[in-house]
Amino acid sequence: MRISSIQSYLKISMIVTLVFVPAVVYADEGDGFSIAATLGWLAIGCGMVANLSLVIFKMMKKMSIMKLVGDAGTSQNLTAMYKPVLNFHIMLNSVGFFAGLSHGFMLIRDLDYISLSLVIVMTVSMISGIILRFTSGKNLKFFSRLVHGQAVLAAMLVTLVVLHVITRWHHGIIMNFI
Amino acid sequence: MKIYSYVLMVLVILATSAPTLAIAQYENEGDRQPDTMILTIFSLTLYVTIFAILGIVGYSVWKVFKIRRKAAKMKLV
Repeated sequence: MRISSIQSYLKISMIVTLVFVPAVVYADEGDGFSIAATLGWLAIGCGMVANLSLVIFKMMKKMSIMKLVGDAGTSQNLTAMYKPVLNFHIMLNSVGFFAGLSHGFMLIRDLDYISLSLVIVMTVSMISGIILRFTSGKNLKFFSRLVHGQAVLAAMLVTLVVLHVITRWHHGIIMNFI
Repeated sequence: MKIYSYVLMVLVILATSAPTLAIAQYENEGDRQPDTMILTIFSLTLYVTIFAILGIVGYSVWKVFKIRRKAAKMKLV
């Protein structure tokens, strides 16, 4: 009983710590643009860690089920670990999304087509993820699972992030005229 | 069913290739002022993204309805 309460306190403190992660960028002594840019990089970093960890975990689980790695015990351990990994994925993606949102609001004057496309794709991923996590309706859950798990959506997200970074490098060398 | 995924893949390829073309065009222009063609190509990205999202949502809705119809038919039998 006591151990479980300590664990729940640890979990809550971990979540609170993650929420304050974007505040780290303000430690930088740069100007407003530097803070906004750091927020953007933070969003990219959070997204990469959150999604890669889940993808690697799922691959490991699949391989252990196929008996390529480890034994039956490994598979059971991985199944037990699924929920914490999923929570980590949700939490870090939320932090990344809100960091990206702040980055977007700070640099809204330089909005361009690629940034807007990125916002749309990110929002669709986020909304479908939230619905998937919190809905209990069978049809809605299946629908959100389909939308959230589309490889096309992931490919578009990665492509748009890469294009956004390329076009915005050095304060937008390419996009300054648009 | 596979045709839908192919259509979606084509949309993604369009979305990725359009800005790449614009960057290539910009590099060719050098220091000269770029023309409106680049702007058009970049704006295409937004439209392709919107249509791709609509495609994904439409495909998912269609899939849910298909499964519901199948389940209803199985109930009747």
